[in-house]
Amino acid sequence: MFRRLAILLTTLMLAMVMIVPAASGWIAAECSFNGWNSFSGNTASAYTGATNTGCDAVWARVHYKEDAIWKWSTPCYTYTYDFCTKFQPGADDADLGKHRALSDSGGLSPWYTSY
Amino acid sequence: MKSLIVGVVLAVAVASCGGSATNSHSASLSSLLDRVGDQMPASQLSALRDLELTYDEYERAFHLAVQCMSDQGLEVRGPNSENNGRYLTYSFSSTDSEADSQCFEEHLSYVHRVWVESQIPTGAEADRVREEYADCVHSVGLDPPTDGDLAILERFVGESLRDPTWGNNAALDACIRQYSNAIFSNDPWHLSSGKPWSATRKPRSASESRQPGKDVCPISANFLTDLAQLHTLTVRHELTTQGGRFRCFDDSQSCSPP
Repeated sequence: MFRRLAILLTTLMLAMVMIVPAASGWIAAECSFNGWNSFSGNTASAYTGATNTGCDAVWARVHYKEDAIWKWSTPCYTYTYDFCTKFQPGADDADLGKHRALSDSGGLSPWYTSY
Repeated sequence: MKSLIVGVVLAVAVASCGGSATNSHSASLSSLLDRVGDQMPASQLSALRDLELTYDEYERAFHLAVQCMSDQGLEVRGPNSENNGRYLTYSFSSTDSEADSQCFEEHLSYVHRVWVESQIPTGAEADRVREEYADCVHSVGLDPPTDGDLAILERFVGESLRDPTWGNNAALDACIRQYSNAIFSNDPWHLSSGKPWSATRKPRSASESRQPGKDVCPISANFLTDLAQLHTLTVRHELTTQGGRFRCFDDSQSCSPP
């Protein structure tokens, strides 16, 4: 009985972990950053922001649909602020964001994906 | 957040595009060329070597990049001129989100950065734009922070978009088109119905007028030198990342492997 209950609880916990959307976060050398993408109205958005002081620059680009064609936007990027938000007005949908950061020591991360 | 190199780059960029005279050009030019060497692609070097970036040069770089992408078989759209010619951009269709990277690095990386950084308002102008932007956001029913700079306001707007209560709000979209994309984005598409803040802005100097084909962003030689240093640093660390220094935390499903 106890074993079955334990299995059931474990299964439930795993199911909860799988369905709860977590924030996307990554580390590039000493730079921690996170990112998300969203679609609302006619604006597709992708955000990348530093979550500590170890980042030099961040990039974000969004995969959006316009006129029935899926496109990648050019990236926003900034050395001026610790975040950038790529707003893409005129979009019909969006599904992915891409996120990248440059650490203080020059470590350039790959492009990570938010879903 | 800001390393010394980037700090210097930005400081010089702001100074150079604020109407101040360029200086030390000739003295640093040979040094710049020595440093850049084969690192800066020839087409970009030709646009920047005279230490002035004109709108024509900026536009030409975009045309070259887009043509390059098209030649590689990418379905690319652009360059598009938006915000009264303030920015140019492109988009492309591909299963590979980095399919444009080779052409971007070849034709646009330096030129684009120089131009975009020069467009961010500073000082009293930034304060005025922030006030207008906050008024716009407030007029649609949001309660933006009353203090802080443009960045804080921008972050607030971004978070508001994720709020389902406000996420589907055409008025908020209009504020974004009019202000956010005019200030922060290098890709202000579809702004025909929006009025970019620059339209009402008085240029600080003749060289700062926003007429396509006549815009000039003076660039100091130091700025280019620092850009070259940054580029070298970036390339070096790109190579070091191949050993798997980057990792993902708290959401492995959303992370791509290095």
